[in-house]
Amino acid sequence: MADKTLNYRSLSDNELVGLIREKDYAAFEEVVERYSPKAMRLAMKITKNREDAQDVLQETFVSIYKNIESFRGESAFSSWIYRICTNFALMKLRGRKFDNQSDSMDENPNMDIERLAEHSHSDNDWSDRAEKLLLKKELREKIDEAIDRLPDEYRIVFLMKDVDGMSNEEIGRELNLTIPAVKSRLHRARLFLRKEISKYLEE
Amino acid sequence: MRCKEVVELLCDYLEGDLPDDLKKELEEHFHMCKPCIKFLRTYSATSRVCRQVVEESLDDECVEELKKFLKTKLST
Repeated sequence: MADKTLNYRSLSDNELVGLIREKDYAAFEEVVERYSPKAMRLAMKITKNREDAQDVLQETFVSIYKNIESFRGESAFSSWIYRICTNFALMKLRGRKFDNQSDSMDENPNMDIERLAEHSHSDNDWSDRAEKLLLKKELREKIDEAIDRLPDEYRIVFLMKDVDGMSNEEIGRELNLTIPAVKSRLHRARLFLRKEISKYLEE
Repeated sequence: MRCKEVVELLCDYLEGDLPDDLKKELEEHFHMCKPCIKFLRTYSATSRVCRQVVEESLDDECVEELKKFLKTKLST
């Protein structure tokens, strides 16, 4: 039951978890409001399909509500949610025969590590103005497209690490990869994205 | 150390996974090589920038639809 005297928006995640355990549905809805935007983006980025992402989101929040007792507070509540979301999204991908073990970047000359690592004195250092640059819709769209162009196996490692904040060990366990393989994919994905952002900013 | 080797080590460097001697060698290279410093800075900003892009908000309509679905699903 919802407590009408409570301002749910002002509650911490832990307080909301406690209330959901007591079957306070309004507390659960606050969690949906708070975390569904990022979960949806994450699901979209992994599945690259809006309908699949919507299914993933529904499965994620149903699971959160039903399994709230299994959240032990060892990690942040948000990380727990994004992890569940990532798992459901991966299941969708696997259903579409996602080949986790392939190395398609190696076969693509545009993704060649040598080219991705090239740099010179004329390179632009945009790191200090990155946040300001992001106000430009066009740049955000370019980055979005660049993430989508990464082959599945690289994109997923990148999202799990740099967006979800998972450790290399957790990613390795989840994807059945060695730690060096996780790092190698992450590194390539970052190099590719760095190059794409730089290319756009130097145009 | 060559610039190409520096790039190969960036991921480990940022995670603090490099042995001390290699870390020292890398940092010495950074002192002498401006392009590599720029590369390091933009490489490290890439994760931050992309995270922000992925975290952009959903439209309200989507959240409302999800809430409606969940209410029906979880109340049965």
